[in-house]
Amino acid sequence: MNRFFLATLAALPLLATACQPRYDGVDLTLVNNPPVPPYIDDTQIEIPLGIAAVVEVEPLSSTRFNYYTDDPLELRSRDPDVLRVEATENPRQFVLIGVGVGETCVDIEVLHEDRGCIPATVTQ
Amino acid sequence: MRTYILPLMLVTLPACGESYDHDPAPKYGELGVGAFLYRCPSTGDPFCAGGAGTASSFPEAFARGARITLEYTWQDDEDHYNDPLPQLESPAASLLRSDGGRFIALVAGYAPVLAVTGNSQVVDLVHLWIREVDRVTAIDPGDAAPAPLQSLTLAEGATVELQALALDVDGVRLGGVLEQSWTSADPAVLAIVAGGDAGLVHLQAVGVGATTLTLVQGARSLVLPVTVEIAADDTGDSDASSGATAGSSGTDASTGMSSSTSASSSTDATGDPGGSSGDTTGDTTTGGAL
Repeated sequence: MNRFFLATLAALPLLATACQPRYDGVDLTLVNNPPVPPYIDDTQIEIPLGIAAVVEVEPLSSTRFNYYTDDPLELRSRDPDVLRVEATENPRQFVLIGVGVGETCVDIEVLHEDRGCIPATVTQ
Repeated sequence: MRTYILPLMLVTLPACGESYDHDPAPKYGELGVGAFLYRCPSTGDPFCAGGAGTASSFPEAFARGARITLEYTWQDDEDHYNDPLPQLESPAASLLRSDGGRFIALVAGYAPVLAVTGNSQVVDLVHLWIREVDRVTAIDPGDAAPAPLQSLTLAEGATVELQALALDVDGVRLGGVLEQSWTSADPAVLAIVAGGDAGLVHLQAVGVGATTLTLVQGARSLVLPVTVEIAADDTGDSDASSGATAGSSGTDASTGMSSSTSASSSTDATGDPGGSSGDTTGDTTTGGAL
């Protein structure tokens, strides 16, 4: 009895993990219609200088448990002098703005965990 | 009792309708939350004729170097209608310098303007198209569809207002307030009454003769030939403001005469040998951008 209880207790964290989403990348969708179209996907961001692109970011899960819409999601530019990232009222939407020609990377953080970065280029 | 309801409704309806009046010529934000308004804090902007607080149309493009004043308004958005208005910011200060709702266009190209709430969230945005000034022209600010003036013919004593208008290489009218100056080569013929350092200049034909009016905006300039003639009704007791004649009342591109040019100073078609009576074949061909 005591052994069964201990085994159940040990399995609880595994069970809890199994019921959570497992990060499997992000899906980026352009929301606005900038005068010069940017190129945006989950592997590359290319924005002309002076263009602001509003993107909807959806974290993807490889399990049947998806992320909740209020799960914390952050996008951060490593070089705001090249590409700025601004939050909107919608926690899943961000504004990417090309402010200086160059290259940088956009870090993605889901549920307070670093999930890598998307290379970004701001073109003339 | 029922008879009172109908008149009451009729009285109430217009009052309700008034609250739905929108500012003229807004440019709706790309997130659809509200609209950006092009304000007219001073005279001298070709999009701000009539001295209205808001331009009659939102410029398609702005001149590089121009000062631009914008405001933002919610548009029937129940989520925000009672919220404080967002601040307008330029995220790319190297392209568009911002100071509150005022901006200076620094670089040709596109520049975004963000509407940002007090908690630093973007609620809306718009892109401004900034273009290099290719040439400057002078237009009649009272003309609904003004054509660039090629010359000016006035009756002695007449007064006239001219508006500077910057165009890009494609002929697009550029908005924004630019630093510009007007000078008369011969103030004894044509005097600058007011606005010599602004886009809107107030002129008076003070003496008979010929001279030139020069408009300078940065490296661009326009030299406008001006002829001041004896007023047609100058019989001793003429009304100074009624004797002006237009440079041309018809359009003839081959001669450089322009339509309704100085007509704001009133015209006297009869007895005007060189002005509005149809003499469009001769003189005035030297005006234009340099």
